[in-house]
Amino acid sequence: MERWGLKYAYGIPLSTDYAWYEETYQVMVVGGRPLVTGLAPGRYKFHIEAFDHCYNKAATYKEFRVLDKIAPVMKCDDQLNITLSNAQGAGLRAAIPNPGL
Amino acid sequence: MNAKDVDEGSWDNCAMDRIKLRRSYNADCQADFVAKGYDWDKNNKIEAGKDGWDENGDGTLQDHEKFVSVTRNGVATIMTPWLDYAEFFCCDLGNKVVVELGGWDKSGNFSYCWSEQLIEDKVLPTYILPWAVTIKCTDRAWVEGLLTAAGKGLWM
Repeated sequence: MERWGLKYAYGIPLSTDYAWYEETYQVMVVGGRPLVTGLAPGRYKFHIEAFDHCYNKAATYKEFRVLDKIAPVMKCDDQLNITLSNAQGAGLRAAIPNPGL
Repeated sequence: MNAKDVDEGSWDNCAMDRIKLRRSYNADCQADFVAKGYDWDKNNKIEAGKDGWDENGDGTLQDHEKFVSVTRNGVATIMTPWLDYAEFFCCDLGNKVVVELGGWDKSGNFSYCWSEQLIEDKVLPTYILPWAVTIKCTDRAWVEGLLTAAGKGLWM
């Protein structure tokens, strides 16, 4: 499978330009169907090659895009104690919170 | 108060881009917000959709840098811009302030959480005493002046 973007190795970018780079992904077979998980958002292409018994070959590819449509999960500290202070500059520039009890 | 002070472990399934903080605007604090530079059009009023804080310094109030009016459950509340911090003032004392923590991921998805904070002043006043002096019993007027001056040293 190919991915559009920067080339990475162990999380370290090896290129500065965007291009198609071949990457290897683990394919699981679930219910008789191939399944790939853990793809980062971006553009991908997977190539399909088919052979018959006489070694005739046909090849094609399918391009697809992985989108992230899941919003972040925000967690607020709901036990804040906020104390007004003028210790951070002129006037009450900011308040000093602590996590509470 | 900084966004990281309120954040209690927010996360994203892919990659979080930024986490910002905002608070509900209290009209009693208009003068404080104006003094702090939130009055973008310099008319000594804080107005939703017009005023704000140019956090990224691009000369505009784009990127969630304006005061906005938010209606929730039929109640309109003016919120400060999304910033790395939220400011509180003495005029907030005794009032409930809504503090919102917003997060954007790299794909632009957004979510937020909020809490309602009652602002109380629990810091004792600090008294700065004058230097030790020797006063004659005939210096009554001077003593009264000294006490008046000392009273000005009281701050909260």
